[in-house]
Amino acid sequence: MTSWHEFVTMGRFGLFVWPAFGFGLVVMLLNIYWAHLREKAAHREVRESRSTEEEIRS
Amino acid sequence: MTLKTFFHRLGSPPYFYQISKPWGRAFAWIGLILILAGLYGGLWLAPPDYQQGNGFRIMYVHVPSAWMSLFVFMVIAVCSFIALVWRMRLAYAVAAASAPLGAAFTAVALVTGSLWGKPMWGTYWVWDARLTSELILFFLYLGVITLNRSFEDQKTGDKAAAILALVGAIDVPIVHYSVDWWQTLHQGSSFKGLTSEIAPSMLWPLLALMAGFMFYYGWLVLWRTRSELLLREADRDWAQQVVGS
Repeated sequence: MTSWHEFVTMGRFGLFVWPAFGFGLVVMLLNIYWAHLREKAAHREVRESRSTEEEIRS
Repeated sequence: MTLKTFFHRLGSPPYFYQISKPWGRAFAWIGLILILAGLYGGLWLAPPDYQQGNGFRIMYVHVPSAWMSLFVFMVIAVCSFIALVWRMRLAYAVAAASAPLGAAFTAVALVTGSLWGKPMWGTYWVWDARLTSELILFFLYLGVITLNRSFEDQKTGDKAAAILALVGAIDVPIVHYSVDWWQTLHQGSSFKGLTSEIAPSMLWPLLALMAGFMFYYGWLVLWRTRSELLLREADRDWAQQVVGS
């Protein structure tokens, strides 16, 4: 790259290059968010299992 | 500890849960550094292609994603085999954790390939062998995910998904060799074995990004596998201790 202008416009391909990288970034961030949600769901499941066991015992 | 003992211990969910956390953190940092270095090299340092101009830079997100889409499906197939033959619970969990990640990589490969195709081929999509087999791979991922979560009994879901993954693995070599076996609009493989015709100034960012994506996957698959193990063993003492602590 020789200038910021060239970097931003990517020659005449900016309309294709930046959406491609943008989509990749969004999906990679969503993967992290989904992993976080799955972890929360797993912790909730373990806690619910514990409270069910305690109810049965009592 | 011998290698055999290590693998035996690795099959134990509590042991895996314990050792995977620090590994995951290391993978995340290594992946981030490699991806940032690869992006800097690919988007700024690498010279424009003599035919495709700056449009070729889509390669830096498309090729690593496409490579990971094949690699992750092979991981799922190998884990499915291990799980079905040796009934290893960890292998089922790794396969279940990998499927959504593989589907995401495949979606990125398809969308970025489409965005690359428009300025180079004049169309977003053609039904050629490479594109069609990659789309089939995406549907296979969706099938594995759906089967895994469609049964009341998790063991039944695990087995059904494992069988589909083993059968579907036939698509992986088809995707890889499609450009050699059929006349396609898609260009040939970027790599022939360990060699590549890509110029070194364009190649190193690609290799950095491919390695970065691998570590990123490693981080997330360890994280998601821990969650899968907790979901599958929620009533076990070790899971109660982990969540309680």
